[in-house]
Amino acid sequence: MTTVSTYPFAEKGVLAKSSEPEEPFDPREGVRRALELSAGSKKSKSVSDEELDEFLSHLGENCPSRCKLFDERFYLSQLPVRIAMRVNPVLHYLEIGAANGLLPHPLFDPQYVRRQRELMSDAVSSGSDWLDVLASCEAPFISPHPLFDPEVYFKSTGRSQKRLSENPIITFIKGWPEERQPFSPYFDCDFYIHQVPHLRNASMDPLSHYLLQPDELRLDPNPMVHGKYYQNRYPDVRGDALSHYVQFGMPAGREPNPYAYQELGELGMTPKELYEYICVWRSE
Amino acid sequence: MTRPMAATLHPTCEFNATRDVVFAHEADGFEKVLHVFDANWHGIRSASGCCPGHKLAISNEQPLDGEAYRHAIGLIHHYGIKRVVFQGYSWVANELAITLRREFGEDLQLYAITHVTSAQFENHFEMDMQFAITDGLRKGVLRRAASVKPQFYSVVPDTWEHLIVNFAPNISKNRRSAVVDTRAIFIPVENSWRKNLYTNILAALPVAEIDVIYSVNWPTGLDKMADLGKVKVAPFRSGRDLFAFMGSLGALMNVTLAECQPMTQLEGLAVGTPSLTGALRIEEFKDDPLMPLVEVESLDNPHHIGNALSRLLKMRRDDPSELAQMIDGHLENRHKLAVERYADFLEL
Repeated sequence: MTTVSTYPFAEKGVLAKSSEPEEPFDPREGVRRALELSAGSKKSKSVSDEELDEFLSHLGENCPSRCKLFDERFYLSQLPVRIAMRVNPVLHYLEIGAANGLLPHPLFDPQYVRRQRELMSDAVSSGSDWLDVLASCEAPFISPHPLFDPEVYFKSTGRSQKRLSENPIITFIKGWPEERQPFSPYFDCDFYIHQVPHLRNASMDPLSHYLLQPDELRLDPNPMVHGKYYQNRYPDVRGDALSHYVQFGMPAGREPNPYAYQELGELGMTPKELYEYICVWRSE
Repeated sequence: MTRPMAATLHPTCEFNATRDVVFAHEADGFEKVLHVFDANWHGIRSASGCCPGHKLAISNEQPLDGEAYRHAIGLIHHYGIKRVVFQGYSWVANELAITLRREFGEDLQLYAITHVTSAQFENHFEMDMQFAITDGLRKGVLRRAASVKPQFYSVVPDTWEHLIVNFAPNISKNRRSAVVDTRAIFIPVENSWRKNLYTNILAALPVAEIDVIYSVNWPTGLDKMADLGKVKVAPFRSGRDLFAFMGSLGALMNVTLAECQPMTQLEGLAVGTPSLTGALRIEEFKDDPLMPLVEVESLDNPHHIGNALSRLLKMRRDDPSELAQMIDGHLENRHKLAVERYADFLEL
């Protein structure tokens, strides 16, 4: 296993040390697994050593986009340019990036994935949260992000969950913009696109667009959650307001907007009531 | 949980407050209608609260800030609102209308209903608001404007030619008070020239059928001219308490000098208590047998008003079921007509 000390910024104290997984994790084998899982079949197609070497020979932005839930450009944008052009992004992520908080895709939140894994006691971990999401093709799915609910996505498409060959996030990424089904009880695409009209005909999905915006320019994707208010009211909020609210604010009975307390009353500030208050998706 | 202080600093923007929805009627097609009104204009708020649809109270005393606009826009989107009705108009309402038009374009239609009479133009604010509504219609901000005052199009020609009919509070007949003191009446009017408090009290004082006259305001100085022994100031009540109090009395008095469709009268009728008013001249109810009983012509003549009140109380005492039947018939017709008029006006 590659240690974090090889990463140039480690010496400057920028990076955290990774925790050791229970089983030794081979990043090269991880790339092979990612390619197999991304091949499209539930029973993974095997990738030969030659194919793997050929893939790993592509560096920087020349790396072909073969792994689902991996955005090469997005990933490389998190690295200094002189490093970005010398590494295979997928291998770099599995070797160093994951342990140091780099993201393979805007829709991947490793802490959220880890919290789900803690609740799924019987699930087997491959040593990579990202690979675990790719391999999660049966309900209950591992969701890659608090604002993407696989169950909502598949209920809204009307497909049977048992017949999947991939995690619903992959179907979502591949299907947008042709398939515009709801994917979250919290993210209102119509409301968001109403504020960002150029997304109406864009290939980028609104969730990725939302997450990629800088905090100060981010618009609200939920009509009832006022992001700016929430961030000003609760200074501990980090990252985007809606993700924080649904994970931490709502369970703690925090106000999603300055009028919520008035509209719900003290008894209405429970997680269940607040969920009903901000929910934008109904199964029926 | 302690109420967060930050919330109290934002301007009034009360959505579906209990008081605005608890007495509302239900009607198909109004699920996507939002009524916007001033939180402190009590008559208009009461009238709006009885309408089917969602409710949003704002205040003309506090301009809306960014969070309030954001909330209004979020609510409209969240509840799929397609029509917004401004009940009464103010500069704050005007700014909100302009913002909503800019935000939603043709996806949202905006309407205004005025609740003023030309007598109120003495207050120039009311004329300014009529101008703002007309201006909004011409600029395409507002789609239509209507009035609860009969023939108001003769005052402001851009007004819809049909009358908007007010709803009475939606209160079940089963909840009416079983015990009624027909020898007590209630005059719930402000002490102002237009509201005619002194005339109402002077009219009620000599009526033999009355022992107690409850008033929300004391007629200062009137004791120099009359024995006010029957007059008592009623403590402040609101909502259900107020309706229960109204329902326990023989009659209400609301003979004011200028009026559209007074909610005091409709609140009284909703709990089975008739309310005397000036002549409202609502064509739609010209054949309604209740109207001659509860309307008086001479608004500044206590003698005539007192006679009308005496007649009304006598009927309440001697033939309560006949009066109750007339009230029920009136409310049924009124609500049917109110739904039709609103639906027609809002193009539902």
